[in-house]
Amino acid sequence: MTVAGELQETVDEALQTHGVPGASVAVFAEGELACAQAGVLNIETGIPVTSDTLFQVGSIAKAYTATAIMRLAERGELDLDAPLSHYLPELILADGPPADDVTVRRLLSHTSGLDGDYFLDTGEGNDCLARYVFACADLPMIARPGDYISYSNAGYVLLGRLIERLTGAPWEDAMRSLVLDPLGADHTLLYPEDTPRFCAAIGHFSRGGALKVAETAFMDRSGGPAGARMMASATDLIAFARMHLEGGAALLRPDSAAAMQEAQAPFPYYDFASHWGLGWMLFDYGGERLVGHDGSAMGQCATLRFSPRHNIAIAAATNSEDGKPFLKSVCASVLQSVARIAASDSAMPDESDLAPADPENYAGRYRNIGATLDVNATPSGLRATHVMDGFSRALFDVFEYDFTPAGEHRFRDAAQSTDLVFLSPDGAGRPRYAHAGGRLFKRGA
Amino acid sequence: MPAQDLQDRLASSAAARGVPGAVLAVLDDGRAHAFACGLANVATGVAATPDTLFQIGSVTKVFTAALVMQLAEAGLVDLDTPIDTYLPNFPAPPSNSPPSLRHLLSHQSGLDEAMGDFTDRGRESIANVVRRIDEIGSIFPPGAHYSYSNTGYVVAGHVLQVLTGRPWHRLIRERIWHPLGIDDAFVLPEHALRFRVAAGHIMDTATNAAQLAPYMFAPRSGAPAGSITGMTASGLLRVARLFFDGPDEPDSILSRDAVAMMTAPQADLSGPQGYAAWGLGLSLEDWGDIRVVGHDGGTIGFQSFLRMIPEKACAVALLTNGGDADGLYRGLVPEILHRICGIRAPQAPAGNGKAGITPCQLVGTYRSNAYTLSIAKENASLRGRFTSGLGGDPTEFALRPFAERVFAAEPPTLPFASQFTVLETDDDGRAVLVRTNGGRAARRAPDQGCVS
Repeated sequence: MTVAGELQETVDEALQTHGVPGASVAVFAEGELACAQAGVLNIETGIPVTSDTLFQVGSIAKAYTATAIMRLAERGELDLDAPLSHYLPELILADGPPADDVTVRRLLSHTSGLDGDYFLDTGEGNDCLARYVFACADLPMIARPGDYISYSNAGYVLLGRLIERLTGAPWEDAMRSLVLDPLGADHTLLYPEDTPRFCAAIGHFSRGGALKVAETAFMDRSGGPAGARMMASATDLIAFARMHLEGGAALLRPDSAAAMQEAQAPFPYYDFASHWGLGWMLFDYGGERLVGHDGSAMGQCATLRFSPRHNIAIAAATNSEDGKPFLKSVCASVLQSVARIAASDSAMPDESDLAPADPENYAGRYRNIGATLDVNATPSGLRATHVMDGFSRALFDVFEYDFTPAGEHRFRDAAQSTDLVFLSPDGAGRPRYAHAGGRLFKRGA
Repeated sequence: MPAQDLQDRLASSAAARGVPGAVLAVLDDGRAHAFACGLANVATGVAATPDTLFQIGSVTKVFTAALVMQLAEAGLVDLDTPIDTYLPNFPAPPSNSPPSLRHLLSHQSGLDEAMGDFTDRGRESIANVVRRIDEIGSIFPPGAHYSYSNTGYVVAGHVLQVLTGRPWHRLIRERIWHPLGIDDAFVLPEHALRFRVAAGHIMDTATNAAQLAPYMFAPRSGAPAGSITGMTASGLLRVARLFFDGPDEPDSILSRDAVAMMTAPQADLSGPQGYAAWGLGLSLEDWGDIRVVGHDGGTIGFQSFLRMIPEKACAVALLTNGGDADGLYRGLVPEILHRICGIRAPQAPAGNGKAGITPCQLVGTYRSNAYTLSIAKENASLRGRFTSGLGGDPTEFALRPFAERVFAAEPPTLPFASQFTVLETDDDGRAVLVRTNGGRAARRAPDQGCVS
């Protein structure tokens, strides 16, 4: 493909189709970098998006945090299989000190069993992560370490604190010296006070059919290591992905870079990711393995994908809460165009030959620290209502899903491409857990 | 003045003085006009527009003072009570009694400046300055003199926080901006992303071109003194209306009494400084027999100017992000005020060349946290050496008697330290306390004396 020309057309069209205010996309393919951008930073100021524009990249920052952890492990400053409590002895969870099998590796792969959507305002101070550790006395485990995968923002905040403990610097400053400076990432920021330096996009939420500028530009600082605040240009994201594509380049040893891309644990469905590596999400995309991460924060979202087999990388970011379909369509057309990889829905596990489940068995209220999932039996399957708790409640709508049986303990909302899987049935066949959107929910008493 | 004229003048003057971007807003006969030129950020090329937010620096002190006046009217504070009543742990610097809020707001507290900590971003950053007040120290007892003190405003901001239980940054929004309908303004760096914001610039001495300042914001601890605030020039004009003469409006955020107190002289500055006096949170100038009130501001890479003529209901706000902003102000604002209000800027008072203090009585080193001034005698003449407390190379100049108790630097390289007034002498007639024309005092350090 003549990447640059086609890419601009793709981005322009997708921007129109999906109604996002602005977007920036960068593609590395055939040894060349191509960029395209469209729209505005902010619908109120009308400042156009440029190739240097920074967007909030949300949880893509987790891959950066993981990279810093791998560098520290290479230096012998930490052991991936050591208990977290070895490094953070002050950590006490709601159920007591974390067990020894809550390891650094499990935090990286979201298999620690630590509940996850725990966001706290512990201030703008450099002690915000230290304070967060103490506030974890209200954070429960949701599963036994190693039993299940369950996306944990809290786990990455603790990894951020671990980086601080080992480097003696605030997470942001440690990331600058461990990852960003060696990459030459001069269009990546971690402190909001740097925003005036750059063209930087603000998030937008759609309210009553109209786009509105996010009133609060950033999440709380304590969420930084999980992705609360990082902003980056699409080209800086590509530089980060290329380092990983190229076996760690000058930053990581090849075995560390490879370990990050190796599956540590599978997901029970593929609508989030198929597996998790160490920091990286792994995708089964039309039968091809893609590596990357997605992120969203305060009305912006971004996606990063690369394929070691095809030596390509794609970074896309947009400043809309509802930007995911835009990102998905841009990535799909780029992958089709540069690598002839066709998007495929068949990646969802097909267990339809298994006996249909009895919906009544699954009805109930399931909760984790971030949300409540109310599941009710319907004539066709299950209706589930997902309500955020705490911090996110004011920002997000209530989500409703209609699921039909799709396999043993598995239900599917085909319209929303979402699976709901039930785990660990008790003697009566009633599950202890629901798993959806990457997270475990525990059945209420 | 026709709008196109003003627009052209702003653009050509800013360009001539190396100002990357500027916004000028004029309030005349009840109508506001705003003009912009240049760039908000030379690195991104984003243009400065009339609705671009610039850091206003110390113009913020008008807000902190107004909040104190609100608390005083609500009966929460008394302006003349020593502040240890409100801050029981306030450590009065040794031998000095604690200042009152009036001392703090009129820069008569004597509190020395504090070098801020860029890394202190926490909610305690303002309180942390107060905790260090002993170490920061003071230059003279409260009420003795005028010496511009950011520390004084940080302490006042802390008093506001303690008495209301609300962060200073919330009080500004809740009690000043929201009632005035000002939405496009911020007091926290993490809110800047929402707006078209200007970046500060410094001069790259190698290329003589403006480049981005090394820090986008000064330390947060200085917020109540103005280290963070971003506003539009038009927003400042809305504030200006508060100070215009007129009947008491029941829903105004400041009563007429409060306005009268803020604009009444508290500290006399008549003399070479150019100001007539300081009020509470406002500088007071006499342009002929017309009172002009206002404030200047400066942060890293920004300078701002607000001037209001209460009896003429006129105001001008000029916001800049680098270059020779003082020159831009001098070349533009007096002429505008002359045209719209018929007033003329006062001429700097002429000296008679007699200071009434001998060179030997002046020789010595004067120190505050803000600067060190060393004065030595070379043959029959005096040489000054000025070193900023922020670091950097010292500036040297000849010093000559200018007027009664005033010496002037030749050439006047540093606009804020080109004249030095002797505030106190000892029994031998030696100067022991001096103040720059920028308004900052420094005390004589122990020395060997002068050989005449």
